[in-house]
Amino acid sequence: MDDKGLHDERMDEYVRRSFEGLEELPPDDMWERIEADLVDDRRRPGFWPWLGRNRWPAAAAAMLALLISISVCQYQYYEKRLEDVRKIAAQSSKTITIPTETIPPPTLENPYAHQEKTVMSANGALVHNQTNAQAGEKTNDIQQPMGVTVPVSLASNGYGEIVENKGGEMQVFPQLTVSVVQVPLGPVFPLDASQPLGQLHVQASSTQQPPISPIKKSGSWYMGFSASPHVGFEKNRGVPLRPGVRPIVASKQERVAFSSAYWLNVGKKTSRSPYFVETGIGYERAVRVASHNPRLRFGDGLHVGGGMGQRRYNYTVGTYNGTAEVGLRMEQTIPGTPTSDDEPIVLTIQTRETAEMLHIPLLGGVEWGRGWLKGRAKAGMVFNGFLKNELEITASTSQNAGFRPVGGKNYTVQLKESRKFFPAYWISAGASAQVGKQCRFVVEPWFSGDFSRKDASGYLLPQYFGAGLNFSTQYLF
Amino acid sequence: MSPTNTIIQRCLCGDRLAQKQLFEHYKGKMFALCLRYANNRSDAEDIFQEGFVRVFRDLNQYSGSGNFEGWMRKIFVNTALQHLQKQKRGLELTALESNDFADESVPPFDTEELPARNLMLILQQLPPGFRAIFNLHVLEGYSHPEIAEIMGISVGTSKSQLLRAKAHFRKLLETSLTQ
Repeated sequence: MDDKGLHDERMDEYVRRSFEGLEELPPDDMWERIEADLVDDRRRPGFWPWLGRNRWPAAAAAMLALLISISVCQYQYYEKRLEDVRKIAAQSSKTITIPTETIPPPTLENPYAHQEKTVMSANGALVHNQTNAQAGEKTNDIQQPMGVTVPVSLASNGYGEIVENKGGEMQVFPQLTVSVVQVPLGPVFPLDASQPLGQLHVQASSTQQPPISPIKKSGSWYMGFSASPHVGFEKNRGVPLRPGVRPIVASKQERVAFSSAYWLNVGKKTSRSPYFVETGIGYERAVRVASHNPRLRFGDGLHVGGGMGQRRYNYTVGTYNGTAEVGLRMEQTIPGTPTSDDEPIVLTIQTRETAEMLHIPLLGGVEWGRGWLKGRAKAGMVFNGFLKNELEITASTSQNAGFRPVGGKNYTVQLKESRKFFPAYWISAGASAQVGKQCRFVVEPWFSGDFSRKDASGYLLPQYFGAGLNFSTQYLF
Repeated sequence: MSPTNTIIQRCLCGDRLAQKQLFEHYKGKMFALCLRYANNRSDAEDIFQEGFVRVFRDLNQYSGSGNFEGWMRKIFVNTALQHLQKQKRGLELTALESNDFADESVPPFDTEELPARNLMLILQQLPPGFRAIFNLHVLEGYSHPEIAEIMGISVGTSKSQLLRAKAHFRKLLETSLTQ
């Protein structure tokens, strides 16, 4: 072994010997911290414990499944009713034979005598014999094989069909048909004016059925896009959750934050009631300018390289986005100044916290009013989750003249994972204006707030409240 | 004295008293291990806390054969390495400037004793990547193929990084000895 290897081996042996059997005592509260994790982390077998741990996502999934089920059932129910109405309309018919009328032939004195006859149908519709045809001329209605045509037109009130009126109601109209059953052959017109033209049998059938109660159209769906500009403010919760847990510094929002969320919504109005349900997905990018004031002890710093007696100080800061472990490099203003380990260092740290969030609303609402302008109100839950989460220290100053942060990039940040989804409540009330049959605009002031939440270590995190206006464009179908 | 199988069985049944007994028996050694891997004491506490939770959670995977302390050490080492991976700087394996390394001619190693705690502080000054490889090879006794598999690097990289880690450690150690 060369000198270098020998020296390495000696160093390795020295290090091994030094650390052999070395024991260090952890903090006194460490067992409580581990015990708390064991309680939270216990994986009991079975469906119900799993459901308890995932109650919020499970509740959201259950509500969504319920909404979809109700909609499918309603759609199928009304489709079946429409099908029933169509069957009734097709099956029921009543043929009424109108007594055969003898149509007097035209005579020289009254060449249009046959035109004057009218036939009454069972429902009171008048069947006129009208003609403006000359001999030999054909019409669309009835053709007499020998060239004599007797056009028959109808003055009816419509054909049988299922019609939807403007109010969304469906009605069935009776149907009147006229068909020529028998047209006897007669002499070629005009052979002999005294000869009768023949008999024209007219059979009219009328499809009538008892009025069917109007069917209300099923509840309408809508889809839309919304923008929600708002202001946000916080309530900080810097109190440690458990006794003995290392206290954290609370990050406080320096000024009111302006932001906007963008949504794709889908909703459904139930039939025969003013209520509706709405869900969707939203996205928001929020920037929060905040500050915090860690209080450090000179002796707690760890020596690091870089000269000038630099030390690194670690502390925990609670932000809206989660709890962060910060490592900050500090140095003495005058290197080598004798300093007691208990010398306090008070810092003012300004941060810029950027979060991209996903929102999933589950709301119920009510609509009132008539016509194109209506009032509406909504309330429910919004489930929020972080897609991206960054913390940046923008400025750091020391209140103690003897210490200062090292220039340049002087910190490291480790954001602890916060809970993926957390609930908030939402209430709003405003107005909607319908333009045309399938377009609607909505404007509604809203207010939303988080429920109390903790990060993965159990620290209480700041609560966020937002208030703003929601502008929505919706397509009805 | 190693814990008996009875204590382990009681831990598996969720006996909190047995779990605390196990914790009290091994806390000193395992926390010292965590301090060797961590950047600072607070990181070491987090690694230690997470390591013990994993020990209790995965206790059913201990087959009963082999040294229990060795099995625990592996869990703590893995926990420490994962913790370092999560941090922003990660386990950097880039080289420092060349003038930080030992020269071709190596002075004899001075075996003047330093308290172990000072050695701990020196170890914590190493970059995380160097510190991890130094711990794994010198103190845990892992071979380079084993280190390569654990850290996801090649054997060659493991060897070169260890040389650099030792050189950096030597420099820091000698600086401490001369102060």
